[in-house]
Amino acid sequence: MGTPPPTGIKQILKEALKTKTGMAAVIILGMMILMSASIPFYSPVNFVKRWNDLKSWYEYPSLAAPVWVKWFTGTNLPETIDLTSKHFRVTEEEISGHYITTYTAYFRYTYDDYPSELKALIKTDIKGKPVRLNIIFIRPDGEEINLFNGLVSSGQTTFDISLDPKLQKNIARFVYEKTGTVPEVIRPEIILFSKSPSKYGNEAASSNVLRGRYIVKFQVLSDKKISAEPRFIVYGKVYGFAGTDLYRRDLWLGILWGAPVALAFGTVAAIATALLQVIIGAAGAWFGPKWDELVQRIADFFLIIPVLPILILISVIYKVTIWSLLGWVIVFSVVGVSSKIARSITFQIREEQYIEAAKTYGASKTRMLFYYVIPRIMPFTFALVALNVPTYIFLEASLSFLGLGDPELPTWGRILGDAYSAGALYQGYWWWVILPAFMIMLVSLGFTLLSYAFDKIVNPRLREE
Amino acid sequence: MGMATFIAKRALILTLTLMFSVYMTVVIANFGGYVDKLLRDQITFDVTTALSRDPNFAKLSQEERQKLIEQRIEAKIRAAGLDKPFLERSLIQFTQALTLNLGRAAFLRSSSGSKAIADIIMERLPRTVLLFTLGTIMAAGIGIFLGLVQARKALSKFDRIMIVLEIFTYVQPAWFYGILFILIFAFYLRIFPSGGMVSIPAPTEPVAYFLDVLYHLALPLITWIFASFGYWAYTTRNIVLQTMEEDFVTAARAKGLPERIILWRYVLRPSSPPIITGVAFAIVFSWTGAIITETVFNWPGIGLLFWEAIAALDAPVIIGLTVILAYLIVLTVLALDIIYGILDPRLRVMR
Amino acid sequence: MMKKILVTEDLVLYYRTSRGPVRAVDHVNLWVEDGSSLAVVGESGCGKSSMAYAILRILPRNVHSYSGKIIFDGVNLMDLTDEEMRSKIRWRKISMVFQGAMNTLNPVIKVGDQIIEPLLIHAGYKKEEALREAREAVKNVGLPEYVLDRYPHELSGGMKQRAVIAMALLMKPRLVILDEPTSALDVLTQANIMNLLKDLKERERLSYIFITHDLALASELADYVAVMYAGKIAEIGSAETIYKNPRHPYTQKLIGSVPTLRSEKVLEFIPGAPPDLVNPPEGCRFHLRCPFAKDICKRREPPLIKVDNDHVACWLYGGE
Repeated sequence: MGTPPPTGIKQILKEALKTKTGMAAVIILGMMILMSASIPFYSPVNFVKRWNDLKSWYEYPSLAAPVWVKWFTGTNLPETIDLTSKHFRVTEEEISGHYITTYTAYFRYTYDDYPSELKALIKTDIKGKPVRLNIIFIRPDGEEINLFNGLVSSGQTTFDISLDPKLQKNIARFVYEKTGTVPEVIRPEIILFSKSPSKYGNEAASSNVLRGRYIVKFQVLSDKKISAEPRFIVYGKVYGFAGTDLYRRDLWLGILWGAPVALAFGTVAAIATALLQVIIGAAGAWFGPKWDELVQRIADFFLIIPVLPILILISVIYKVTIWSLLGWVIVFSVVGVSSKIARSITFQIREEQYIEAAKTYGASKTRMLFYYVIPRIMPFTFALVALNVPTYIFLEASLSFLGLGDPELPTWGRILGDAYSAGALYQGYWWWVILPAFMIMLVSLGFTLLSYAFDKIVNPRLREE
Repeated sequence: MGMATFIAKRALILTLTLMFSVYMTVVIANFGGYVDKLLRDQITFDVTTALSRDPNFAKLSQEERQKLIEQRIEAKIRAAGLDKPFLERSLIQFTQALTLNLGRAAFLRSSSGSKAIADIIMERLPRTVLLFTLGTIMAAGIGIFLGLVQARKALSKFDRIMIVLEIFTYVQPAWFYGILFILIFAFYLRIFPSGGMVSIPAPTEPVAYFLDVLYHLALPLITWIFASFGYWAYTTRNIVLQTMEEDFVTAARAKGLPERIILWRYVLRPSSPPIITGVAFAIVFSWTGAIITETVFNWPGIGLLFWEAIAALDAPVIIGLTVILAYLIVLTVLALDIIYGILDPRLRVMR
Repeated sequence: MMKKILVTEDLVLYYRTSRGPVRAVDHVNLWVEDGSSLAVVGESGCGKSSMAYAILRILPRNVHSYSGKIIFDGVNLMDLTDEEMRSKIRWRKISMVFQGAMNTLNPVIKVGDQIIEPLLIHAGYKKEEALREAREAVKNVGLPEYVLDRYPHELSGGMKQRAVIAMALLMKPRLVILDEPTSALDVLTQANIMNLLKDLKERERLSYIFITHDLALASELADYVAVMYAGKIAEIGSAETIYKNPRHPYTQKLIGSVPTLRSEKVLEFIPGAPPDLVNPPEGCRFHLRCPFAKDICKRREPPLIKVDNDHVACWLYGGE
């Protein structure tokens, strides 16, 4: 003989907050909401566009682990060193009508590991003939390597030192001069930063990293005065709080953006389907056997059709956005568990006296359904709604994982799908998988706890005595 | 309503539902005619390439060639039934599907090279049954056992922690655990292979082959069990607990019946119909595999076939799979109605 | 004075809830004389069903406290082990007919098999012998034999109620507790069952505890009436005096609120609501709704005071 379960929405929320699980749920979900609210401070307004514009991420390292990995491994993993034009000192000489402009910058390299990649860029505003450019790399031990010597034309020129075979040849020459052998695989980011020439090569030990002051020189030779903006990027192996993906994108921003998308999609889908299911289930039971029969038949139908394959089919041809997906999800969940609950409760309510009374004074049936019946049912669906939020988040994630989700928005499922198709599981790019996965799990834990807290209040079988 | 009338009525309703959903699948799988266009393009391409390899064809004049190409294309299109309007074709596909005349795949083949959809499906089905039916049975076994233990210790600390754990593990789909487990157990710990059903090349000796399949089976099986045991445990707990609170259990106690008898005759027997129905349903559903889980583990079963068919827009295969699936479900629902009627005499009147 | 078959002394049954203990049965003293029937009357939620469960020791999980004495046929049931309670007392000595017979039969077992279960388990009968007894028993309650071969849902509400009564009488117990045995039935069936119970009482020399919210029905059927309010006995006495000359203000109000066909009286209603059993008011639990409440009623709980042959828990009838 306990106290009757509370029925008002406010009352249920209040009671749910009082339980330990309810508190935990509110803390977790509150964190998520805070995260979502912090987005304007972190990322530009056109973030979604930028996320999909892979070229705009060139200054970020590719596949860098999160910065905090350093603290766990105890090795000082390299961060990106970006020498922009303001780091370069400019000197000019004029020799027989030719101008030699030299841009010199230095940086200290004190890390325990090699950089992941090197890149040199130059932006010039010359008109007409191309100019001659010389890029020189000077190591702390005084070795000078001529990385590039050739012509560049106007505009931006990028030298992919780590990938460009022409530049690699120059580096190979340097190794040959030192050791008398030509390495099989040339990895400039290792050779240029390695202590002993005998160990140049692919599997260079990190103990061999040459620490100290490195100098980069850009020399431009031209027959008239020109201005240029040089840049030299030494890409690190760690970046930011969540690392980067293969396409150099800052995963933290993607993960952050995933939060409001997931929360909005999950809650809207869960609440909309619950409302619809309750209305349909209750209406069937309320308006009599014929309607009830109809609802039951629709339920049979949805039992038989395979919803996920059909959603996948639809996404394959129609290229859904997150909002059209929401629409489809709602269409395929017009009947479900909530309508079953609504149906059985409506049958009980129908027998109650005040309903009888309302009938005798001639209240309209539809009005009664919406004013008396449905508000009574809703509390019983709270737990289910809370539980359905992660279910719908995962539905979206499933489609995105297959590459069928919203083509624009970064969602957690899409990040996971990108990671999977880039082979992150088999290469050990764990941060690309674990962090978005952790976020989804955190949200689903939050809603699971919330659902349990609701259930405990409404469902006497879970109430703590 | 007698049992026979009840079954007959259910059978009729389910057949109508079946027909409706099969027709809908036919329309959706063809993308309302889009696939027909693809097929026509394919025929044109096939005919032109086949003829261009024919040395006699080169001897013909330009006009004759054009005519021959058109004739051949038309013949092929007619043979494939593509000359008829989509509505008519959809009805033909519909009747073929209903009569389980599955026909031939548009693009996909079985590993032995057959294009017959029945062959393709029969090649994949045993693999899916091996993984998902086994997994479902094991998960249900573990879950039901846990649920019974929890029902006995209802609302204890153990019970409450297990409830949250069970709901939580069940909310995440299996593929989600799949990627985490592959990363942990296959990449870092190197205990299990990361995917596939056999090593490449596959062992030739039967025992070695069997062991190799088991070795590949382990991780997806564990994943599937982990993702679904919670559902069984939580459902069983609730059903049993609900029965325990029925008046007839209190009455049995008042009658002085020993706890053992109360548990078996008054709690477990009335609780069993919904649990048994649930397990039976899950076993049948397990034959459809799981699209993403099979993709993640590269397990060549029905789920992966579904995904391949969708990716290749192979409408006949999609329809074939859905129809078989729909038939299975309808037959199961009907069988369960009958079994339920036998297990639980209440239902004979209630429905 | 007749022998008392059952006496409870300070019987307590509290339930644990998140809000604190619910005092469903709070120091209840009552007695049943051998071969007579006692009706326990009260509003729903006053603890009358809990009292029945307490006597049979069928307790839910959330028991907070369970104490006092239950002296049945000279033995304190509280001294028996659970196993002794089960094998010696339940159904052999005390049986019970539960509220809402529809739910007290196991839906998946045939009625006959359920009726004979106690015979098989407690008395070691063979199945045929037990069925013979059961046939006799259902005939006694006016049911055809074939009900034994039916599932519960195949019987009407009245038939189920009779079957449950037959089941309760099968072991020839000394005391039968009937918890609202007719509340879910239509009036005609109710009357039939009532007559059956009266008839059986004469024939089998049974003692009854008859739990109901219907005072008129109680006085019709029972020799004695105990009125329960908020987990306590308000008044206990012979059916006639309680009905004709109620002493406790609550009983008076209760009778005043029952419509009768014979007199043209104005129906009364009891103002206020029954108290919360987690936080019952101090003093007399009825004082907030009592028109005669005195100062002492707010401070001290009244004991059962003997007035003529009845007992009343009310300060109006003595004490300080």
